[in-house]
Amino acid sequence: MTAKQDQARLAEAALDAVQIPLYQAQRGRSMAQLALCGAARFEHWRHYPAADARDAVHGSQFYFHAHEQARGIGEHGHFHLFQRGAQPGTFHHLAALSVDALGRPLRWFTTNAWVTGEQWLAAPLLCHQLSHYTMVQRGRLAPLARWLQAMVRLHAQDLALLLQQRDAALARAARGRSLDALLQDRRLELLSEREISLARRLQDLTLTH
Amino acid sequence: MNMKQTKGKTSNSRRACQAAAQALPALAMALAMLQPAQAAEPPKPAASSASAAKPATNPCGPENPCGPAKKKRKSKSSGSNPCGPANPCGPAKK
Repeated sequence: MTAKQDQARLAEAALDAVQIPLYQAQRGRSMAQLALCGAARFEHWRHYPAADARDAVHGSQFYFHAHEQARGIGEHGHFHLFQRGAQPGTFHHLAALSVDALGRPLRWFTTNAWVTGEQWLAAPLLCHQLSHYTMVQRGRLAPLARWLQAMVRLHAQDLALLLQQRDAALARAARGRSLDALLQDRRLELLSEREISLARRLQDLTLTH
Repeated sequence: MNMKQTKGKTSNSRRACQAAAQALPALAMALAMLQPAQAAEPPKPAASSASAAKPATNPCGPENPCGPAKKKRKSKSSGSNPCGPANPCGPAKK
């Protein structure tokens, strides 16, 4: 993909990141409400949608949920984003995206392998997948999927840094232990996080385009 | 791609980014009119046995509390399902 095509893709993501929640808000829905897939109750730990949203063609998958304790100030819930691995039945956790009760993105974060049961992939290999992250859904999940796709593409550079910080956090905690031991260490849960400002990101983009 | 097309694409990208940035105040105003989404709450006790998704009953188990949902396997008895291939237009069971 050429630099120009990359720019066009990024610009499209920028538009989606704003226009999709705007369109929904003008119809009385926030992205946080959309994330609950019409459920009457929002219960701790439950996946929304129940069997996750899957894009079989592109191998991407996501769901929304919340814990008893919010991950950070103002969090309503967060999306976990996955990518299918090369071996059947395996998957990688790309990152999680926290949103507030109006669906405004707050921060990205990464978790240790035991949290999701993922097959661990080092940051450089995961980063490669970010700029072409594609998630397509039909029906009422379609705008949500396209918005998440836009958020990943728009923040691909931030996410690459976040994943590098994730690996650095593990390396700092290593103290001679094996990678397998670290990935299963229950004391290591949240490995890196990064606040998001859509306004700042769009401002940066406008200056560089 | 010739120079003219390249230039056109660049300015389209710039315009798209500017349009996105300019739509932010409208988004903020539209969001200000909305009710916050309902807060997460503990699962109802009655539902906790079969379908609640707290860590202990998470389909991916307490070992991986934030793991993705496992794919549902197709039932072997789907041939006798009233909505299955044998009765594609059969009525739903009461």
